Amino acid sequence: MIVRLLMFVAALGLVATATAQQPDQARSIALFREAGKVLQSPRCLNCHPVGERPTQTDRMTPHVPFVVRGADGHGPAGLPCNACHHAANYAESGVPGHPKWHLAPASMAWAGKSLGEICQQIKDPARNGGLDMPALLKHMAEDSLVGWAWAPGGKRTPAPGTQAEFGATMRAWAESGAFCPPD
Amino acid sequence: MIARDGEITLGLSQPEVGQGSYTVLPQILADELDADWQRVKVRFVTGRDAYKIAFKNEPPVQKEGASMSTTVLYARLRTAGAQAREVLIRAAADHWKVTADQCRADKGFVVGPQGQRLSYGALAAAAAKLPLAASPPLKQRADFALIGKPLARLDTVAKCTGTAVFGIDVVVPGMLYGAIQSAPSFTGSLTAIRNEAEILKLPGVRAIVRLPAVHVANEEPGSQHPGTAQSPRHNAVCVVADRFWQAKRAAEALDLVFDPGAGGDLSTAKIDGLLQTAMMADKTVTAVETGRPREILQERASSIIERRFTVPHVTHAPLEPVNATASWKDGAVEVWGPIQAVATCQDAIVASLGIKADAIKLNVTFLGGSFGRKIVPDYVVQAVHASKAVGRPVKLIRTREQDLRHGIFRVNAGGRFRAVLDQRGYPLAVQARVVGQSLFGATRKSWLDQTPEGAWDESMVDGIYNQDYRLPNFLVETVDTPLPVPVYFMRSVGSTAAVFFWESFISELAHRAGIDQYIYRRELLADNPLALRVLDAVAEAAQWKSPPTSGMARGISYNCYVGRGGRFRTYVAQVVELEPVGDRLAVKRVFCAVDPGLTVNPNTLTAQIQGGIGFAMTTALLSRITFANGGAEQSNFLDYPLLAIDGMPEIVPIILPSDRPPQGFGEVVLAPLAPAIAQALLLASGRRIDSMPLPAAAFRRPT
Amino acid sequence: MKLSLRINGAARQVEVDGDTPLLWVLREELGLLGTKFGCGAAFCGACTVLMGDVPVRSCSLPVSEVGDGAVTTIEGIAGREAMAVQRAWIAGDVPQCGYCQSGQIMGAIALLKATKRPTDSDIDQAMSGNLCRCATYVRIREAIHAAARDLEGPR
Repeated sequence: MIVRLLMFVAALGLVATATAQQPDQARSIALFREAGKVLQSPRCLNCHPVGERPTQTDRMTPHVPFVVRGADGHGPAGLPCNACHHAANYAESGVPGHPKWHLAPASMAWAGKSLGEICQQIKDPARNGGLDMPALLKHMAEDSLVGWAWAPGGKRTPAPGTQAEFGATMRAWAESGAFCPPD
Repeated sequence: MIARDGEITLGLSQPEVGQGSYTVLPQILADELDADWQRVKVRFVTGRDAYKIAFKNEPPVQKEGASMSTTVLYARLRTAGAQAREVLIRAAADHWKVTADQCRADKGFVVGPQGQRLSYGALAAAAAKLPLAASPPLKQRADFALIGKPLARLDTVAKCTGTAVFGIDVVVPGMLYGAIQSAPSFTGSLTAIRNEAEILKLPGVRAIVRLPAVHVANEEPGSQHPGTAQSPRHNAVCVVADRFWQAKRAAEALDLVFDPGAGGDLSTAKIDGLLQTAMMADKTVTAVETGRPREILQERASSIIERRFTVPHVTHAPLEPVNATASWKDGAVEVWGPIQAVATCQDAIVASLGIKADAIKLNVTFLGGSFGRKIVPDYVVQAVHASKAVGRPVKLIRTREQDLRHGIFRVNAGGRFRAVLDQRGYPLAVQARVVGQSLFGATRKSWLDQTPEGAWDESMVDGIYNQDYRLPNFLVETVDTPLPVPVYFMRSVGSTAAVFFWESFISELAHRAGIDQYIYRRELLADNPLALRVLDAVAEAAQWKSPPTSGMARGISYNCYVGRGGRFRTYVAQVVELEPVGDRLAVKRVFCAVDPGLTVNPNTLTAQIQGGIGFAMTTALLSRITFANGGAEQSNFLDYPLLAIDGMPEIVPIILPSDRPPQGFGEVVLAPLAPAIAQALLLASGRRIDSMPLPAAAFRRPT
Repeated sequence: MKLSLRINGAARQVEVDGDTPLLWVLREELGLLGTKFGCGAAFCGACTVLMGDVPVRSCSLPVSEVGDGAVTTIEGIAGREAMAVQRAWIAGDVPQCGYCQSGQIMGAIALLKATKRPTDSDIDQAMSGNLCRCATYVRIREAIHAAARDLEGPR
């Protein structure tokens, strides 16, 4: 309870700071829409599924095999993600890889949601894995599993742009008030 | 063969594809032989006349298919067992200087009048010199020691320890490995290899071999397959290397140029267009006409009930991809592989390589699934060509992509059904039309049934033309829409499509009549006691007469699977139960009542019920091959998914006792599943399903 | 490249391209043919081996990444869970064609090492990556339950 309260205060503080820097709601929303092209690419949505099961490919078909998230996002007991996904993309089998390969928690489900809903989720430490805004921005800009989306290997279409550009867009969004699209 | 130590080795002519022949056929022979089951071993054999069987109007050959092995070989195996027992007894009687009728057989021994015992092993040499009785007395059913017992499979231990040798596991000294790339379109021919020199420099690569197109399953002259319709061509390239993975990598790097050929524009849209046109065509071939169906339908045109259905092409997708190992030497060849029909395979090698049949030696391994796929020996012939080209043994393995996309398919079908009901709501006149690519037309024209209007293919209307319901005025018609898709028999053949159409239409009629689905079928089968028996058995087991629990959807279906050439009749009835799972309905339990004649082995028969329904679940819910640019589009289990354990329903088998001899079983439980599911959805939600795979949207829970 | 692998408790030396899938090294370099090729893309599970306790799809693991991981194939399974699973598989007469069963058995061992008394749902989740075209799933499920009971029994 205390932890949650502290986070809430932290989030308020950030918004307050941003407000001081002359918030520009329209610009902020536009920036988030730009970032949304990444967030709503199949590279991100496939592993931020609604429900227990990931999807795969550019067409976002159900993952084969029919794996589930499991208790910690690393798959169910007896069939962890690393049964198939190893340290790097493997062209021979077409199976993508990364040392931290796992599914986003259910609270971060994006697939099928509107950009506004995704935005509210991303800002909410109760749903985003307890990240305040600086931590969130750092995650988006620097996390190497997020970065996989721009180097997915095989026939997968990379997320648009680069991770650095995406990070900059997210930062600009935060600095412009971190407003969310209404829809 | 009986060894001196009493171990009995039975030669098995029928391939073990999972159905249990490796256990069940020896079980029949060993029973009449009074062998000690613990001392029975099995090995695969080829080449003798005694192994040959025929399905229809054809010369007998060695093969498995059409669920015939047990049916056709039951009497032959019992006679052989009894003949051997009889000479062993005579040999013992001669030794003891008593008469044969003073002796009896007992689990691998002959017992004399004073209780003296001689083992089969000790008697074998003397017995082998005695003439066999032409028709020795067979056991009464009450005396069976093995037949009817749920014996464990003889191949289970090997398959649970990784020691069973499948085709892909064959090792021949000095062998190389082959991987192929095939023409994208079924009618394609190779025109150039752009980077041959570069590929030859890749690690381990020994040779690049152009492979001639292979006739699909040795089809007869005049059949429609591209293999026979076109002049000789090359339609694939094999890279031979020291290791399979080197060969595969190099094959994938080949830069090949193909002419797509006459069928290069084949697409799903084109195929579906042909189906729709054929469903409404004026010209058809009449397969069955009883009473006055045409007149009655015309007279009562305003009250006609009509439904139309389609099913796509699908494919076998056995888990062991097709593969073969061939060793060519001095104009002769030895082959090892997962081969379902040795005769067909031998014929195909003769036709493609131009060598004599006696220059070919075939060795059959365990088959890692087949379902009809490994009757077609295209992959064997390719391995022989590769070995001939390099002068060394070659194991050719198709990758899953090469196996699936460039494989063999089950035909598509469309159905148009029309009926008028009598005052009680039962069919007065029915018109059943099935259209689509004809399997027999494409592969075995001599199996077609000729009429003045043209020929019809019974496999298109299996379970319709020979259906059991009482129909006073009945018309069955077919229209063949030839296609350049390589097709062949697949487990349950035409019945999965035809019975889906037929039972779904019966469900529609019962629904319109407002009569319970079980009662409706019961009334239409009133004159058929064997049919009624399975239908009643399944309804009772599933408590059909009690209302389903809240949220549950139920469906019931019936089919009698008639063996090719009328060789057997196996009665099947199913009840499926769908339960809510989240916002959807899922198949949770299937009751399946069967009358299979005498059950030789309840263990393997139960396994066929369980696995057969699981196989049918894949076809009903998941399978669809689509076509573009003259070839198939699917290539692996991502776009051609198979049922996994999470989708497998509970199975309740009900095996009815029977005085009839064993009837075919490996395919019979498949067809009734899809229409039972479709009926359950119709009853639960009013949704009418007109295609397979059953659309996912139809499983949304009714609100 | 020259590699030293730990396979079924023994050190095995191989000289192969490091990008080779472990599956083909097991089958063609080491003669361990019980591990099967099904799809080459980790969809079917026929090639499953254990690396430690993880049921790894050997078609999708480059041999260079194996490192000093302890690899167990069907030929080398040992230990309480493995023996209970194999016994249950034989007693339940699970296989039909048998081709997928090495992989099924490896998957079941991994499941029982992770979950002592799996529910039907646990089995669905862990075993849905092992396809069986003969659909022996009814008996696979029964065999896993039987093996779990066996492991719980008096010792």
